[in-house]
Amino acid sequence: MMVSCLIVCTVLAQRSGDAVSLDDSRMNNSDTTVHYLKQVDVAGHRTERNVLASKPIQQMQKAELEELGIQNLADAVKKFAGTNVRDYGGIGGMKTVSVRNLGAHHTAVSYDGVTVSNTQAGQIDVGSFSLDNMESLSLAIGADESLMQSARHYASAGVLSILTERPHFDEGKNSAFRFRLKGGSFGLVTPSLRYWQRVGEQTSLALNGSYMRADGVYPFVLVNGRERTNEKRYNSDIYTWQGEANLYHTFADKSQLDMKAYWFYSERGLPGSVTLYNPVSRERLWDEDFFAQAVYRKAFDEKWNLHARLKYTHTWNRYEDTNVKYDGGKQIDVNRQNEYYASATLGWSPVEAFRIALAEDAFYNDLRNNINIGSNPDYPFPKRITSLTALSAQWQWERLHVEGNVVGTYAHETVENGENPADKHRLSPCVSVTYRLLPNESLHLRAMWKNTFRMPSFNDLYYLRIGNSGLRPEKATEYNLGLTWSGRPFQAVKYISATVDAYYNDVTDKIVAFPSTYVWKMANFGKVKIKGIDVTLATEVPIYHKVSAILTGAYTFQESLDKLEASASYNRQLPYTPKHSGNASLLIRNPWVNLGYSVLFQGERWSSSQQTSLYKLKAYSEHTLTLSREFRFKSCQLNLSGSIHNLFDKQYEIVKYYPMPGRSFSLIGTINF
Amino acid sequence: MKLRSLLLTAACAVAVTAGFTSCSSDDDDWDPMKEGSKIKMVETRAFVLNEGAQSHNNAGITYFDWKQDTTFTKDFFYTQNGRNLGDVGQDIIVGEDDYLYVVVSGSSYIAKLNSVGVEKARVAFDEKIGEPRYAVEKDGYLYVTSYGGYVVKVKTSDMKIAGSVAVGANPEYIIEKDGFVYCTCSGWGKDKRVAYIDTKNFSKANFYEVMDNPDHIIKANDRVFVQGYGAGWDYPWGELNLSTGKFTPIGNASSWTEYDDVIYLVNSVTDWSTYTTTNYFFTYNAKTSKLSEWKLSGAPAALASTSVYGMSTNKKTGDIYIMTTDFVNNGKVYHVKKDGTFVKSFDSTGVNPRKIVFLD
Repeated sequence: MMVSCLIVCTVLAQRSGDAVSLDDSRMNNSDTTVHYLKQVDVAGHRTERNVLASKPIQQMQKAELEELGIQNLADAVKKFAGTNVRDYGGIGGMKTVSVRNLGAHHTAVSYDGVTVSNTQAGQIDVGSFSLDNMESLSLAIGADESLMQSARHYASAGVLSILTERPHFDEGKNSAFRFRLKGGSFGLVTPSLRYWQRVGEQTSLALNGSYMRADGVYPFVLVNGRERTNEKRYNSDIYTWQGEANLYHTFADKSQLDMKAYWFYSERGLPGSVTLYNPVSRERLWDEDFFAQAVYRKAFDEKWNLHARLKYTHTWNRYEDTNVKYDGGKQIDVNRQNEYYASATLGWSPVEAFRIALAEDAFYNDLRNNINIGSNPDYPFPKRITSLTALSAQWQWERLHVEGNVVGTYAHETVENGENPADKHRLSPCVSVTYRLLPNESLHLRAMWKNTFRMPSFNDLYYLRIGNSGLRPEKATEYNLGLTWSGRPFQAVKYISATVDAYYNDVTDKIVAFPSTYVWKMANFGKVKIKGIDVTLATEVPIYHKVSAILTGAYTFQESLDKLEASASYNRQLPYTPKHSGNASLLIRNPWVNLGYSVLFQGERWSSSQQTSLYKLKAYSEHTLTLSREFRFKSCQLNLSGSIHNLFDKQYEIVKYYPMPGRSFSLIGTINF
Repeated sequence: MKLRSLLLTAACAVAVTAGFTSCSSDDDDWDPMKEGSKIKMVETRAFVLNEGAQSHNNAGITYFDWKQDTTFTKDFFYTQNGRNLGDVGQDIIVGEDDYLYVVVSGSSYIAKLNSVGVEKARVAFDEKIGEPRYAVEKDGYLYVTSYGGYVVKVKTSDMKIAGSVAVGANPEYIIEKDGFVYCTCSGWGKDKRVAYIDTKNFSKANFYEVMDNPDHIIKANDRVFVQGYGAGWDYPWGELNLSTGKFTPIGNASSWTEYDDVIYLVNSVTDWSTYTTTNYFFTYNAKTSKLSEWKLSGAPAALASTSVYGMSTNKKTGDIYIMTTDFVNNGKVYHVKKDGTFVKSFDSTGVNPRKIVFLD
């Protein structure tokens, strides 16, 4: 997560004549003496973003992800302090991310700078993203520190950003090829291909595709009172296909255009919760996502910048449950969503210390499905037009750095059947500040206040019977006060970075399913206050020549209380919220076999708002051990890694009656040429 | 003299009767431990079925002394059997053999418990017939509605399925009357019928049309009443005339119970502008066809504003037990006299209490 970034500067050059810009005639001239200089690496530690930023921004790089044997995006996110990952277990189980318990709806997921959307559910299943092409992953609480963001990013309580790897070529090469094969327990097989091609001096193309299959049948121990039985998790199979094409072009005026087309298809079983005495599970889900996006970046001069984005997204899914209780023996729900998105951010730096940006996002969403077609009332087929306008500024004065923005939201919705809901509009301000306490130490005090909200999803508004078109947006206010430091207090370490952030979140008008005698309805009924402390720590200890140990850790204390007096769970900790959670990892890098060891832990928590022993989930820790080695041949490079996940075969659940897999293995072979 | 003799005779008769009564209720003669109980129990016992929350495997049974309203505060089924009841406790009935039959819908089985709650047998419902919903017992057989659209006949002695008859989609409550079983067919809003089957040949269902999405069915004074969700989800109820097949709407109610030909009803109505629930209690006298307000005196204020999830009657006393839920915490059981006088309330020791059965 907070791994250091080494700036490696090659001061001079290579042994090979290829790399030295001398022509052969000079090389062959007997009067000329050629001296081969050894490569010299000057290494320093760049202070992390999370230490310098006025808002907590945690980051992981590709190398760390691979060396720690992290299998999927959700497992990576679990290593960020302050995150709650709702993981329904298994390879195909849904995984959503909530930042500091504000709820997954408040977290934006960005893929190469453009937000991924799901207006129907309002939350993103991060389990569907592959780590294969990832360059870095970051989680910004509040917003990223970049001024040139989209308004949508500014409008979110937290942004999970996925950046994919851009093509880069070895000297003298115009193409690069990578084949990766991953296999593991529970029938996991994942081949993937990546091809990079330079198609012009300023243009390159990246193509990648992957397939994954797993039968997902894993054993678990079912505890039923005083009985313990060995069971297997069935209907957990998954098949996915994913493909992506990227074109990167730099124009003569140095402006850049990145274009991407992405396609994902999956079929999976949904094992559902374990039901005592009834193992039958026939639910299945098919997903197909397609999007095409373009990002254009231009610096007009030193003062003016423009970033523009366009995106079209089509999302389709089909849910099917086979059970005699349904009419015709099957329940089939088909949902089809579209989004058309345009965004532009114009930045201006009149003086070096002051920068300002105006971002405008406009998007159109629609949803068609069959869930209550023919019922009374008929399905509304909603359409929503949203405008987000963000004005942001940054100001640097000596050791003080101040950022602020205000986001104006306007949403207009129409329905084909029923009454159109009222338009929604709101202003959401944010201010953050960081102050370097000592002139010669990277010791910073930071503070943030952010007001944000999330729109009701189409499901909240219109789902059969429980939807409520009168819903208002759910509001959240975030406060953060932190102390960050990075330095090298003694020679035995390369660096130490530490951050401590205390936070308080206030959620009002929370959208919840409000119970009535038989028919529940979505309502703005909840009120939640969240207090917490996030601590992160990272250090690197040189052990021997080319052998070093990198230690990282994160700890979260969180108290998330229902504060609505009329609520049946007033003043109780929210379900699935441990007071104590965290992780630690150790990487030992050496010339032989790199070793990665990581542990995740969660303290006790409850699966229900009723906090009795019946609903208590035990604390657990999960350990992963990974060994990896890189082999370099003349024209290619081979990476091999093997991991043991859940090393001590711990039986645990993140969501009650969704058992997580026990000990499992994975092997990855990657060849680059 | 004659009078004295009569009084003496009467006094002797009372004494003898009292002696028998005393004898029959003597706890020394009834030893729950001999029946396999893990705990001491009283003979005047009742069992609350807590439905639990769907997919949480937290259905349970609570035991209490209906004379004293003292409760056993742990999960009674777990205590007696060492395992959990399962997912969605849908129905519980007392058979003619004094065994308890518990329908666990999500877990798709029916358990046969002896009179101290120890499981003796069970029958699982497979995927073809679907999850069991409600049961009635007659002459050694259970008649159970199942979500596959059947009434399934189960022999109580060995808990084996003896047959099934197709009815409408998603049948719910079931009653027995004069050799016929009657069940509602909800179709989850797509059906509007009551099916009836002659138990003698148990071969074919016939139907009455009643209302959209019917749910409960009950009998009182030889008449049959049906309640459901209705097209507008406002819980209509009315009478089904078995002779004419005509259904006559009477009012709106979300839950009910019956004693001595009087139906005790409640309509729990949620106001979605204020998110408050109000309970309207009333009675319907099936002898006089008169609707009356049922005034509850001395009851805690919460009873007026918490969703009523079930109502049951103790046939020994005529007292009514009203079960409420907030869908999060353990439910509450309110014990009231049939005249509406509040007696006591206690924790149901589980989520969503649905029904109570009584033994003595």
